[in-house]
Amino acid sequence: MSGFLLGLSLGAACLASCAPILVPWYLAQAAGWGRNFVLLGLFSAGRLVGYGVFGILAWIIHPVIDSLRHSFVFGLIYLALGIMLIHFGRTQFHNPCVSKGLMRRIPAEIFARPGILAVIMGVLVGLNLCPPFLAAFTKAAETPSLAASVIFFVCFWAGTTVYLLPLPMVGLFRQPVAAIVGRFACWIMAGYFIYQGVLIWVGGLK
Amino acid sequence: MTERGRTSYGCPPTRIAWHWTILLAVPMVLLTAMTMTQGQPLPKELRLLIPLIVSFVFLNAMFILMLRSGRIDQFRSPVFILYALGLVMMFIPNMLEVRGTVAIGAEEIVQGKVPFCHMVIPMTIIPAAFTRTIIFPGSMLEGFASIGTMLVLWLVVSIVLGRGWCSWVCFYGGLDEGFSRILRTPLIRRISPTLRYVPFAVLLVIVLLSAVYLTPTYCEWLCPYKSVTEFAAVTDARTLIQTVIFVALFVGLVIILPILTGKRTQCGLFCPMGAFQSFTNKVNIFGIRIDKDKCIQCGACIKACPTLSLDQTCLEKGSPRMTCSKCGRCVDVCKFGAVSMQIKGTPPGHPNLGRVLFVYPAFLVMAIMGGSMIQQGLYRIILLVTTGSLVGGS
Ligand code: SF4
Ligand code: SF4
Repeated sequence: MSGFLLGLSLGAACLASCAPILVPWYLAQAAGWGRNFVLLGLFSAGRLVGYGVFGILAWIIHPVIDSLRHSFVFGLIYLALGIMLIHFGRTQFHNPCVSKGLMRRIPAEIFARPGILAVIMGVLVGLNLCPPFLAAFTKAAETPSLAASVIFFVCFWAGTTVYLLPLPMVGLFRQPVAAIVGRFACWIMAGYFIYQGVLIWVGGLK
Repeated sequence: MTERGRTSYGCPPTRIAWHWTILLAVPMVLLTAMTMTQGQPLPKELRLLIPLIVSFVFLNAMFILMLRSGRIDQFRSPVFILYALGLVMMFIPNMLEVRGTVAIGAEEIVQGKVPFCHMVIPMTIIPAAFTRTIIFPGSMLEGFASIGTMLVLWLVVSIVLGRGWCSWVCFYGGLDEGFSRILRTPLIRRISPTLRYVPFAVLLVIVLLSAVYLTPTYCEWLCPYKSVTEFAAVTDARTLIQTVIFVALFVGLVIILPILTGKRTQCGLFCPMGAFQSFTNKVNIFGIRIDKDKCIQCGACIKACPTLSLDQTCLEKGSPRMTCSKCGRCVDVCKFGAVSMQIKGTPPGHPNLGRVLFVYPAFLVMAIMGGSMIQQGLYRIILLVTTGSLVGGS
């Protein structure tokens, strides 16, 4: 449940960073919203695979993370997250996901097959180190078992996917308002992460 | 409203005849008398009797003038501001008497002795739907400030008044409203319209963070009003940072920015409860209507709106944004009688009907909640003058 809720709480930032890929793509497809939903399903399945990989990774590094808890480094991670979110909020829709750079390297033929493309994009987005994802990664690393770590990521995936659901309705969705709210939410979350980082520093260095 | 942006109640709106005014005021007089005395005989001690009589007369005078004059905000605002000041004057000495300090200790939080305030409603009911956990450390049913009482009150008021809650019921709103009225001419006149979305972002973040961490996030690190009510005792770095944030937000959003802008910046640009209440405006039957035939697009109402709920698009559409707190200031300042409080869906032409039907329950709730606060605030002032201390007395 906490993975799902964390996904929900950070999904606005996911939307801000990943909508630049999905929305133009949907528009370029010029497909109806029903077909867009099918593509979103494939895209989400791809993301799930990417998240599963990170679930395993998070569990592997968890002993290291455990020893770092409440340390200077952990505080620094929160501060970095906060600063990244501020940057995301500032540049918002003009700032690409890591996967957007990778997208340019995909052979042109694949673009002819929207279904395959949707899955590939999903995997790439799933392997993207955006701030919400890093937050989930540090939280998943605290889980005691491999299964718990993977389940956490699956739930996180479900939470963030909720935010992508309106995207197929691009034409109907009042995106400017949602984008503004999302951007402000990024900044507030950033403030929260910085606050957490400072708290860990102040508390941890006592 | 003058050219320079200050509210002036210039035009004579539709008045109600005296006999109707008196007739309509009688039930309010009886109800306020009942609630303020709580059915008890009048107190003999002057220090208790004077606040009771003064606040009773003040409330009913304001209501009668509101009915008679056809204006809303001019007579709502003084009551609303004194209601908030009364809360502060009552709360702090009360805490000092009961606990010896305004700060609340960890033990009391664990024991659920924190009075429930409406600010946590969005953080309570939305996460409760997901997690089936009430995250606030207060009592569920015990006393007036219990979670159950507040939720019922909020639900009833929201159905009847919508976001009118923020200009008639919220016991904090009068503070930034009071400060926003200090300068005749605001020093900052341009506020980016994009900032109107900040409360919705705050709402989104605090609801979700509260659900993730199962704590009332807003109360823990964002509520400006902690500065004038109660906050966790400063015992470590965490509580020190929290206290610094509370004070900084209070000074910035409730004092300095309202003075400089003439707007209710905490309510209009930050408060998540206000954003949450905005959605209740959608289902509420009362709303502000702008008659496009009468409106000459002078923009006076846009400048006067304390919550930035009006813009040019609203004038064209004939209604304010969903964030309207139904304060009635736009009704009062329009010199052409183009703005009125109406029952949604009814034909225009009866400005007093919608106004009276709205003002009656709105004022009643404000009088019931605010009456005792104003009364107790006055009592504390009299105590201070007569004994030199805010605490003690009977
Ligand atoms: S409703 Fe029209 S005429 Fe009335 S104050 Fe607003 S802009 Fe001016
Ligand atoms: S639109 Fe009118 S009633 Fe609504 S908040 Fe603004 S001034 Fe008050």
